[in-house]
Amino acid sequence: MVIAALAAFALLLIAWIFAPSGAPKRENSMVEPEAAALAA
Amino acid sequence: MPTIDSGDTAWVLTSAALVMLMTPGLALFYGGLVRRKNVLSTIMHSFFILGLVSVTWVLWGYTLAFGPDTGLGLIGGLDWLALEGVTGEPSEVYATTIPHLLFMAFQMMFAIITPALISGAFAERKRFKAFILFAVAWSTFVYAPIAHWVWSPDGWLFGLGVLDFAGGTVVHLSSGVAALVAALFIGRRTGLIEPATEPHDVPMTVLGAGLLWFGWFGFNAGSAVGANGLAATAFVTTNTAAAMAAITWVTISWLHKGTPSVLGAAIGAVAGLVAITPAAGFVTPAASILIGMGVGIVCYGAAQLRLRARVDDALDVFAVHGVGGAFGAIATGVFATAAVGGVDGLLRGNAGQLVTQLIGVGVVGIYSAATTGAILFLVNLVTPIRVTGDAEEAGLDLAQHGEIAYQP
Repeated sequence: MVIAALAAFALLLIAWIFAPSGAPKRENSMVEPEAAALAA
Repeated sequence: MPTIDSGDTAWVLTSAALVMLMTPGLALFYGGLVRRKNVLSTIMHSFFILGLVSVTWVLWGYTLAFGPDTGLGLIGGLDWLALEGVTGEPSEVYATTIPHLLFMAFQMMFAIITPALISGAFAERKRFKAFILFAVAWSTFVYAPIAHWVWSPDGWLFGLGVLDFAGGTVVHLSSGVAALVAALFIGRRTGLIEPATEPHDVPMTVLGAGLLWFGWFGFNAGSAVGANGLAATAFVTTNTAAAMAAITWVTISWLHKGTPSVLGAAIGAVAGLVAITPAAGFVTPAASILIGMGVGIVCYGAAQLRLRARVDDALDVFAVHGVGGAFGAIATGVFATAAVGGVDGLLRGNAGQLVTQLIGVGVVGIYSAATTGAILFLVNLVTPIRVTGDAEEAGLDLAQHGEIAYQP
């Protein structure tokens, strides 16, 4: 069980290393263009 | 044979929950201090660490910090990997009147907030992926060893006699020094007109400071690991030092800049809480007033020096936690009273304790600085620590997380 628990975390760690480094360039559905302009 | 005490257990359960609340409180404290385009990313640092270090602490952090020593007082063994052998029965070494699992959970909350404190130094420009890798490595290779040195009965600094009631060196000095190194490594934010940016939401920061102050009762009074007179002493010294530092900071800023700063009250209170942390169970309430005033003056000065320096420790983590933690650890060596915590300091004729405290401060500071630098270098090889200029310009909320905090 200990090995399985460590392996589960290791999977996440690997996923983090290979995950995208930033948000996609496309417009995010949660962000209105005006809001993006305001935030910037 | 250790036996569970229901009063002690109830208090430490409560304290663990109080300390847990400090990390979301820190998220608000830091979140209010940054520009509005970076508030989510700043909050995310603390909130994600709440999840991240909760898991790593269970898997390997606790056994490295508090597990049976490997022989030199430097690190715990792997006997309690993934909490194997850590049960609802009391430990024979730590807090023998509460379940061992509860002691582990209480310590976990300290392990969580410590790397979260560092995040204030590289706010508004750190890549989230790099932040995760840094946090895992830092809590493993900096926090766990230092906690072992100072708090394990087999730790070499513990054996030397270094006093640290609730983490002045283990939590605050280590994270404060790491923050300074991180700020130097990552460089200054771009586009700053003034050395410091205007906070985007002061009420958020004050709310965060209030939650930190509240949670700190668990942090310090909980470190008595019992519902007893020592906990009451730590409770009173904690509140007194925070109060004195807050009103001292406000007074200094009033005289220096002409207005009594609300932000100064919040930051001053945190500085007082930091400084009393190592001393809370070793000094009298009267001494905590002097510690609060002293740290208010010293940390205010450190923050002003930082403004003049080229180091962009964005949220003054070093000035408050590094300087405040060192000040508190040294003050413990000055003001400690045997009638409170069993050890006398300089003012009670034990100059040796002050020397011991200075050694502890020096060792922890140097180790944290060197190891933090090495970790940052290695993480930077895996993924750039700093975001691109465009991302920094757009704000990390959008560039890193694809969200914004406030709808127009």
